[in-house]
Amino acid sequence: MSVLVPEVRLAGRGGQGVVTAGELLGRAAIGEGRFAQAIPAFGPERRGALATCTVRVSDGEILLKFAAAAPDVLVVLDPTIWHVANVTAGMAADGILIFNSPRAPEDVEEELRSGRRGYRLAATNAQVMTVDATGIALEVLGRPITNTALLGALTGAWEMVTFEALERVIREHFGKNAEANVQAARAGREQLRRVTAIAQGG
Amino acid sequence: MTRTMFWNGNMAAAQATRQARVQVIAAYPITPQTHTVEYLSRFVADGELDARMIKVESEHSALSACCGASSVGARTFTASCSQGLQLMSEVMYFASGMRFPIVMAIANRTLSVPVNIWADHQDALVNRDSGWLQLFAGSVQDVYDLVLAAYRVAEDERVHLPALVCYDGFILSHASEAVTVLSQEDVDAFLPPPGGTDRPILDVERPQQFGEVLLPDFYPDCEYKKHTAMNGALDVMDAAFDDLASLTGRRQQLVKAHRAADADTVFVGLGSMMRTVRHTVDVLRNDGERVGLVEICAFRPFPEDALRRALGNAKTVIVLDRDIGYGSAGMVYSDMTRTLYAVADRPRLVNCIIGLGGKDITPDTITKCLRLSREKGGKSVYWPDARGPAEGIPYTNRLAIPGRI
Repeated sequence: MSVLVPEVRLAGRGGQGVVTAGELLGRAAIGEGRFAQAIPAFGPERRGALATCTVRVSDGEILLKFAAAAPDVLVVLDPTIWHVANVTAGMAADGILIFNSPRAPEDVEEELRSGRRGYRLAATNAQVMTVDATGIALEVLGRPITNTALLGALTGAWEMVTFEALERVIREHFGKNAEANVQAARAGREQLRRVTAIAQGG
Repeated sequence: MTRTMFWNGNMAAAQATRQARVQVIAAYPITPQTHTVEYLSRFVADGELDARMIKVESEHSALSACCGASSVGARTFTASCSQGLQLMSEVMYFASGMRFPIVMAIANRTLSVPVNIWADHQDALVNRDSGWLQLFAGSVQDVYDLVLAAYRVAEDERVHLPALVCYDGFILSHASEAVTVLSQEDVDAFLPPPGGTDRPILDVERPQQFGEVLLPDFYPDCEYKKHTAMNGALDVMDAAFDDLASLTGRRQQLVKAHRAADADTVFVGLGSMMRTVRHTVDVLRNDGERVGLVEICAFRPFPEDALRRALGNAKTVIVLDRDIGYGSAGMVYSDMTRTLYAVADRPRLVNCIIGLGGKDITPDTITKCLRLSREKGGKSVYWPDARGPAEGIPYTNRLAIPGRI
């Protein structure tokens, strides 16, 4: 059965800000008059274990109340999480995959499709994009917390949330660290790399 | 005046409790406790809520402390779920017998073992006969609305019974959604701040005796009175929902019907899964299926009349139970069969046990239930999620998983 609610899945490890990223994304969406829902998936786990958050954004009330999703966009905060968890499971065949890596998207896609080091990427027409979110976070924040850089990148690839709305909630949420996180988000948006060599604007 | 927040269910419960100006909160801060009391302890510490936060050594003690506070007239709150609620169970009967209007928030989670921390309604439903009102939320907004309504109804002199506000663990407790929030002035208008009460309370100036022995000659009278108060709570609840709607613009309902009036097949059930059913019903309607649904908000008292009205002329009613009464059927199904038994041309009733222990309930689950309900010579109780030997899951007379021990 088709489920026509735009969905994002954020995947990383406990402690990397996955749940906060989902909250920020949802708040940014409702700030623009949309409906949103962020469902974190927990186990009886701890820092370092798999953490995911499903975010739905829609122009109508969101009635789907379950975490399993067929995400249109998958944001991978941790470059090794796919070795131990099938984070791309259920992803839309033509979905967007934003992967935290300094490598070229072609290289990352080849490795994800080969399944050499973990779960194979099955989505046939997925558009793989990369951004060196860890590098940005270390440079701008001084800590490898990659969520704001990746959210910035997300606004460059997905039209449901604008950068302006994201910037507003980052400023509300981070207090004295707000400016640095806005900077990380902006860098993430600017440094997003796509497989096709089309120049990307602002 | 309202504003819109992006809150999870636990925060919605905590904020509504804060705005209700509760005076005493008692909680045991270890698993399976929720964030709700963590948020409340922060409100108290930050001076945003003038309440006494009592940290106790068990859930049994948490509810006992609430009983003590309620006995002197205080507005009280606690939260728990799963095994924690079971440890409270003994005190739940005491609280309802003493007619204490305590409100408790439950992030519904299943009961172990097998060890599982995820959502189903088993924890609340096994306490269905404890004399507590039970209200089920379908969204985070409902959590907020129902906590406020629960205080109003529980404290009404025609009711004077404790109330559970139930919302699905993780799916609503940890999930964030937009919540439209009332101003403190509006909440105060809906729910007068605590102070005076008509309830008999412990008072050194006017000594009275409470919770005394009642011999068989009078015991049934007392039980009948409690049962009558519970049933009468339906009208009180309806009136409270009216008053709340005049402030929020949203009308809560004892039962929430969607496209049921002209439906051949109607799904009935509790909690957040019924919103997924609503989505599915709209999709199925586009395919020409005459389906509808009725989401039950008040499980105790059970709104029989409202349900009979809402079901229209349905030929088949599919009762979705996120719980199981072992050796019988789902617990909502049992109430539904009783509700419809005396109806002329009563519909066929089918029971589907789904979503136990956090198993996702998706549109595919719902369409599978519809398909099963149409099986020729069908059974009355189905387990669409469960697998047996035919699906490669062998039954075993040992508890160990084969091959691992």
